[in-house]
Amino acid sequence: MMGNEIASSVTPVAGGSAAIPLQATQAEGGSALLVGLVLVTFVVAAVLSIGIAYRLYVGYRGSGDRSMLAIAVGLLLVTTVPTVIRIAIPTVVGDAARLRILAATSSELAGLLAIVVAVRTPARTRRRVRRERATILPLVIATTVVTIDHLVWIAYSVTPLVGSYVTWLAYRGYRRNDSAPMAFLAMGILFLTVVPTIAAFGIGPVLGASDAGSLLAASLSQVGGLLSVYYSLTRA
Amino acid sequence: MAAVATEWERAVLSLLDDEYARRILVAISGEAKSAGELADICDASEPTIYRRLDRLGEHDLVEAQQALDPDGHHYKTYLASVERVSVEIDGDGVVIEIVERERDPADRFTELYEGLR
Repeated sequence: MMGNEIASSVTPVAGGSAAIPLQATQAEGGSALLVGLVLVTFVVAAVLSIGIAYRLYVGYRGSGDRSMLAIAVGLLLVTTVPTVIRIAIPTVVGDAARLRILAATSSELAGLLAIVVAVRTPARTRRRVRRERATILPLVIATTVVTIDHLVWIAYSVTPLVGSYVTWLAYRGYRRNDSAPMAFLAMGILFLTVVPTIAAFGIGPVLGASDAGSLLAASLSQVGGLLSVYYSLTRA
Repeated sequence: MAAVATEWERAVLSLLDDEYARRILVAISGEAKSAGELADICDASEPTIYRRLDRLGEHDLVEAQQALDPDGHHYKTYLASVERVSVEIDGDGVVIEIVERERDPADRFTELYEGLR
């Protein structure tokens, strides 16, 4: 199943110091250099995500605009929250690892959906009709047993799709309004929500990359994404 | 059934009866403008414009947006969110329907994000 693939994409190491955020020192085919690089990306990601959270807070502060708040919270859920989850839950094995992936990916999905809802203003019709109509909604109760593997699989497949849509929206925002920040935001969202999944399931196994190599590729993509979003918020 | 207009219906109809409110809606139907720009276009004082904008906003006919001036200060611009208002009369009473304008989500995204920076 998908969940097992996810768990095994990072080879577990038993024991070791819990203080080290990533225990992949003996990852299959992974050298100490790769592991060191992954640790460096964690530190850089932490610093960038705190910077992003601060800029979003300063940007929203006092504006009182609900849609802007939704965008700010959405970006926080796409950038800072998953980074904190990845660093705070050190395990890379078993159920905890799947929970970690589920939590980070769900946060990204929730953030992307908040952005989509905030920017989409479809033609609404406000009707004030005097006639009352009783509506009986059919109530369907799903009785399917949902396991954590299903949830991981759903989050893992839906997040890149919604991420692609938001990337496309941001890219069109850049083209239509000649807005450089939107170009960097599009790139950031692409690297944060779409590329890591492709690295984990597509390119990694195809190229026969080692587990540590795949992990490093995903981490680098996330750092690249955070860097792009931070640049877009500050200098672009 | 007795046709007693609700407060909202009365407010919308009386707003549309107001010439300044109509001029404002026309001026901001495609492009957001500030109260100052509207005062010039509609040949009215800013307080007059603000009073109309407040009432239009209260009844969801106008939406306020954040914009940045060259010095980096925030100011408000306004955009009409209504595209069509229809009044339908039949034996049961009067039905007022407001159809809101659809905007490109990419433009809305850009505007909100630039407001955040």
